Amino acid sequence: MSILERHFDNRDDLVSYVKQLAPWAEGNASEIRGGRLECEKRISSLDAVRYGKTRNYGNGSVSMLSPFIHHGVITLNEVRNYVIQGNDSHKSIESFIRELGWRDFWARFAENNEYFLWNDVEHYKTGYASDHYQEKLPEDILEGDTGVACIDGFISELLKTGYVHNHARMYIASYIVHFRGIKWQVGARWFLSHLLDGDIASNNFSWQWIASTFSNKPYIFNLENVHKFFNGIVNTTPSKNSVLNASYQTLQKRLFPNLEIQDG
Amino acid sequence: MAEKILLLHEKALRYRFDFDQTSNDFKAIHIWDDAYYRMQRYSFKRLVFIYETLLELPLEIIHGNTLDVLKAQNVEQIVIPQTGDQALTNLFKEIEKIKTVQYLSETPFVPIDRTFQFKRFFKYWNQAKKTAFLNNGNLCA
Ligand SMILES: Cc1cc2nc3c(=O)[nH]c(=O)nc-3n(C[C@H](O)[C@H](O)[C@H](O)COP(=O)(O)OP(=O)(O)OC[C@H]3O[C@@H](n4cnc5c(N)ncnc54)[C@H](O)[C@@H]3O)c2cc1C
Repeated sequence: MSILERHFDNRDDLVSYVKQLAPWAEGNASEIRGGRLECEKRISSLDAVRYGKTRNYGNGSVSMLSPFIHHGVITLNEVRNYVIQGNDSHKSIESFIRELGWRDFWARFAENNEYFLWNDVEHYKTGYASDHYQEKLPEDILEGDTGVACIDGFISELLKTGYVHNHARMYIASYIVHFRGIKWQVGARWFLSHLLDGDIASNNFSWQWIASTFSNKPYIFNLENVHKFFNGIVNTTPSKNSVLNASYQTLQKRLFPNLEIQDG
Repeated sequence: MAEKILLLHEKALRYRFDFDQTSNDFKAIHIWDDAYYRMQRYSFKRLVFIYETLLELPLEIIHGNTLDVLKAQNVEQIVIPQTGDQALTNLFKEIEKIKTVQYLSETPFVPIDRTFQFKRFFKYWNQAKKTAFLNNGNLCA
């Protein structure tokens, strides 16, 4: 038992100190800094009105508050109080407040349904039973070397910074579960260790939402969609993303052939 | 000498609570518990984020096993901010066996009964939106 250091001349010294404390922990430090001051910077630059119009875009006005909310640096209540202060119209900030609601919803569901944190809430609506899905995450995904350029770009961001835009999280999760046929639990566990905001409720239920075990249908996407929202942020060249380069109808048939048979 | 310990765990890295923090009879600590962090399988970047956040808080960072550290403290009462996190809640139950624990509750986002059983967001939101746009979720002044 010992009292740990609180004063460092610079960030590099702090990082080396944490490395000594936790030599077992993988990876490098993120450029995203912790602390209340950093959190306050983010909240004061938040534009909750613009958020509503741009939140799905890679360069949209998202808050990047999640690591701070998750670690209790700021509460959902404080964030909401801050946002409503300067905005009289509910409509203009509805989108932002509703997203805070998603976090609250998942947390409340988890409190009453601990079992479902790691087990399917419902069956897959993909035409496959859960034993169709693989139990292991392949190396190429772990290393961000899948050969699908945009997915590799998103994974590299995850590994480097521990923060990924919500839309990109949806793409990665959908790619893993539906394009590669891997159990959502495997991807969820991997996300939890890397995300600075890794939160068992928001994360695992979001994975289940994508997988369709906690939603009415599987979430899928195509290259056109990635290009629309992340053009210039990740590589969306068709030849480098060929598995995604198809219409929704084609992908639906390719990914869920059993559904066709059932529907037909 | 402090009579109480405010235990700031990794889901409550702040210093504003509904609790008398002006008196001298408590000290705040964070326990850097290797076993706990390893069990969570946190990446290095996450540990740095947590440590960096701790540095801005007026607390002592103690390295060791949570229960051993608390046993060694010459105080009876441990004050802990509540969390829905299961791993931490289990740890707090162990603390209750060796010390008196007082939990600090957090102002909820909306005043909906915590035992609710909505399975779809829109059902939750239909209720939540009635107070989600009000200061403190309309709960207190
Ligand atoms: C596969 C997958 C895994 C996810 N894992 C996590 C996770 O581990 N931890 C986590 O906090 N969120 C998770 N999310 C939800 C969401 O992606 C992040 O909360 C959001 O991207 C964080 O970025 P931000 O702070 O810039 O969010 P903003 O868009 O600025 O939103 C503000 C706040 O609202 C909350 N929020 C926004 N969207 C969601 C959402 N869909 N679900 C729950 N809360 C939301 C967050 O607290 C966020 O900080 C996940 C989503 C997906 C699809």
